Amino acid sequence: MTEPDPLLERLLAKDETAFKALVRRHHGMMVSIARSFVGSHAIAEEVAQDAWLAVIDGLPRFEGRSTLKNWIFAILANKARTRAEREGRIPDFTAVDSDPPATVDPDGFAPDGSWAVLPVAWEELDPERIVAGRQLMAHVADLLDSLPAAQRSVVVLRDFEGLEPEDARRILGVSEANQRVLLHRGRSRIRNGLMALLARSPDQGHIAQQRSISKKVNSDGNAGPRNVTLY
Amino acid sequence: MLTCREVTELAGDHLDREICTGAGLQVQLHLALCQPCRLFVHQLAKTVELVRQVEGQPPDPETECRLLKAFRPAAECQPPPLSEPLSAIPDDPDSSSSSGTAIALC
Repeated sequence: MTEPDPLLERLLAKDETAFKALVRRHHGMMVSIARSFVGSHAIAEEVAQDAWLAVIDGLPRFEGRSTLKNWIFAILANKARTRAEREGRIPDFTAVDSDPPATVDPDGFAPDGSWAVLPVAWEELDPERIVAGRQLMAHVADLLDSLPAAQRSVVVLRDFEGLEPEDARRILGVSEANQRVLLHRGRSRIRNGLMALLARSPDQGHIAQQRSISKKVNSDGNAGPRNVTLY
Repeated sequence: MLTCREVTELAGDHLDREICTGAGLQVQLHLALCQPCRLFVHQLAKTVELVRQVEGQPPDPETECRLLKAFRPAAECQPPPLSEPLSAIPDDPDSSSSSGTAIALC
């Protein structure tokens, strides 16, 4: 890393506005990831706070060999791992076999692997839109929060924090294959949750227009879908 | 050629461009021919975009205040000790007078 990080420079200059923004952006997700290692939300909160203090303490010595974000989350994971060991817990990011394996409900496919229940289009899915009495983004946050711990941690690091696969993998201590599976299942669960939510929404027709596909063009050349329903 | 079900399982890798050339070409070919799978990939991409836009949950005001104090140069303020969990501090008799006072100090 050769280019100076403007945020790092502001933090080293003790810019409180920059620090506050950093904390507000990442603290909740740090707690969420710590929760994947330790036994309770309260302990995860302590771990996240402890990590922030270590970040403050270590900033002057940060050499920029990784990005600031990677460094912060690596500190968090180390703190969480240490705390988990003290609790006698072994964080498990490999237990993917216990999760539902299918990305889409198996009933959504015909036996030959073609779509039986067609996906619907999401047009103009405005994050501010009110769905079931709340903004869509509040639902997305809840869906993210409700993921199994390992899936949530990977989705947070990859999609919310935007970490590179190798960095996220190293921070969480998961294999490349496991990370890919966890990420895909986590995203799929959120997508499925949104599908269910939009299906219940009274004005779904504005954004989730059902598509009628009379003839399925597919490799297997089999008959078209049994029906067209949401989820 | 891949089935729709197989494509849904590879859709994430396709989005992330983490798919090997052979499988990637098969997915692209399938998507070129299959509108439902294109819709699925679009939904998955939209899901990723929405997750990216989720608002981070800030710490509670007391915690934020204590972290800010710890951030300030040592000459201006004494940060809490690293070994002591911050959540335990409000139980300390010295700091139990009022959380409002602590916030005001920020």
